[in-house]
Amino acid sequence: MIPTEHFKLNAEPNTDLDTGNLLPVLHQICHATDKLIQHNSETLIDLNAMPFAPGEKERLKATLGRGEISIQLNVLGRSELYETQYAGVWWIEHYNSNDNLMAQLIEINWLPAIARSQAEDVHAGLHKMKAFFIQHNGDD
Amino acid sequence: MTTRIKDLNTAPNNVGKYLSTQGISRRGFLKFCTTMASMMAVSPTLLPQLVEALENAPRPSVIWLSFQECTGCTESLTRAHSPTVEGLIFDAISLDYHHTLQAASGEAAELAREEAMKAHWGKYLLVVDGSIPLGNPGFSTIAGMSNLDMLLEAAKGAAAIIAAGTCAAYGGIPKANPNPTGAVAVQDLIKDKPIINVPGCPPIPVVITGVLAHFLAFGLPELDSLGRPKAFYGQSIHDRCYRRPFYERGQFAETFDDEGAKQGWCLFKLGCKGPSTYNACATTKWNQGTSFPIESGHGCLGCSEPNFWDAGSFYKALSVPTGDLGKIAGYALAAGGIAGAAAGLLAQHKKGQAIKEHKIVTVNDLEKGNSA
Ligand code: SF4
Repeated sequence: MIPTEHFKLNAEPNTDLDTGNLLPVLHQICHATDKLIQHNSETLIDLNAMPFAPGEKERLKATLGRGEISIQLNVLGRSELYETQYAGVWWIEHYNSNDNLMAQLIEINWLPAIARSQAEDVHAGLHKMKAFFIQHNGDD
Repeated sequence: MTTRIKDLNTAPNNVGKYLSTQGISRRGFLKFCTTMASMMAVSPTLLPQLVEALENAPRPSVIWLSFQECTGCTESLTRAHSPTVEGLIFDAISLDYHHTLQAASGEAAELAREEAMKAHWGKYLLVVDGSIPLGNPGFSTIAGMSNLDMLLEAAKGAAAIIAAGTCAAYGGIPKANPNPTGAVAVQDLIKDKPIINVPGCPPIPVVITGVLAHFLAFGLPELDSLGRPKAFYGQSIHDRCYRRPFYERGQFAETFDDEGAKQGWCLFKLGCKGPSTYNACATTKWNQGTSFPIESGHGCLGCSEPNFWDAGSFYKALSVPTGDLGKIAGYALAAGGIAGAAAGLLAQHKKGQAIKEHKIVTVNDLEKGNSA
C-alpha cells in the first residue's frame, strides 16, 4: 500500500484557495491501490465530477508525478495515458479532435482498460487480414 | 434531410452497430462512452452498464422545434456538435428536423418534419427551444403555422419532450415582465407527455448531449421538482463552488475591484445567485471546460431558475439563508463521482437539507434581497 505520509507531504494546501478535495482524492487512490492488490479490482475516478480551485488539479497531478510508461491513443482525437510515480495509478486525459480536454480520470488498474486491444477490434482486424489473403490469392 | 430519412430505413437501428458502420472502433466507442459518462456525471462504476446500454440503444428520430428564442440554445448545441467525440451523440440520434441547422428550407423542410413524424409516430423525441406566445398566434410562426399549433401537433406523436433552455422550460426572457407576447413554457401547454426541462440561458452544451445520452442509454432521467435531470441539476452552484471556503469564513468581496475581489473571495454580497441556482456550471464549466462566470469574477445570475430575469437586481445579495452548513471539510463532490472518499464529501443529510431549501426558494424570496 502506498504510504499516505508521502502523499501528504506534497498535498498540503499552498494557497488560501482550496476546496479541501485534494487529500480525500489521494486517500481514495490509496484505498483503490490496496483494492487492486487484494482483490484484483480496478477503480476509475472522474476528476471532472468534483470541484477544484484553480491550480488544485495541477497540484494533484504534480503530487502523483510521472512514472515509467506513457501511452498515446489516436482515436476520435488523442488520449494521453501515463502511469504516475505510483505503479498501477494511471493519469488519463481524453481530448476531442479539436484538442479540447473532454475527460480527465485516474484509473487504478494493471493497465488502463481502454489501452488493451478490444476483442471486437481484434475480430475486425482478423477479418480484414483474411480478406487481404483472399484478395492476394485471387490475384495470383 | 429528406434523403437522410430514406437512408435511415436501411441504416442499422441501434447505436453501437450504427457507429461501427461509421468506422468507429470499439476503442473509440469506449472513449465516447467514457466521455459521455463524465459529462452525465454518472459514477465511473456504472461505465460498463452505460457501454452496454448505449451499444444496444435504438437510434431515435429527433425533431427539434425552435420558437420564441434568441438561437443561443442552438449556438450552444453546435458547440457540442462539432465533429468530435462528444459530437458522436448526434450520430447516435437521427436529427430529422432542425430548421436552423438543416440544409432544406421552405416546403421541403416542413415536408421533412411531417415525414419524420409520420415514420416515427409515437416514438420520436421532440426537442423544443424557445417559449410559446399565446397573446397572438402571429407573434411567432414557422411556415405560416403558429408555434402553438406546431407544438400541439408535434407533441401528440412524441415519446418524450426535452424543453431545452430556460425559455422552453419556464418561459425565460420572453416571459419576463410585462410579458408582451403572453409567452408560456412547454409544460404549461403539454400535460400528457414526459417533459425533461434542460434550463440555462443557454444550457451547457455537454448537458444537452448528456441528457440525450442518458435518454438513449437509460430512458427518462430522474427529475427534480422543477422537471430537471438530477444528474446535472441535483446540486447548487454554491454546493460545488470553489469559492465556498471564503463564504464559510465570511470573506466577501464588497465591490468588483476591492482587495477581496482580487483575492478571489466569495461574490455573495455582489449578488451571486449560486446558493439558489441548480446547474452544473461549477464542475462542467464553459468554453471547453475553461471556466465559469464565478471563476471570471462575476456572480451567478441564476439563469437556470424559473423567472430569473424578474428576480430583482443581479447585483443585490440574496437574503435567503442557505442553511448552517457550518464546518464542512470540503465541498460537494458531484454525486457518484467519487464514491467512498471519506472527507471532502458534503454530508448526505446536508445535501438533502440544501435540496429541501432549494424547493422553497422562490422569486419572491430572491426579491427580498438587500444590497448588503
Ligand atoms: S455565493 Fe456564489 S461565489 Fe460565493 S461560494 Fe456561493 S456560489 Fe460561490
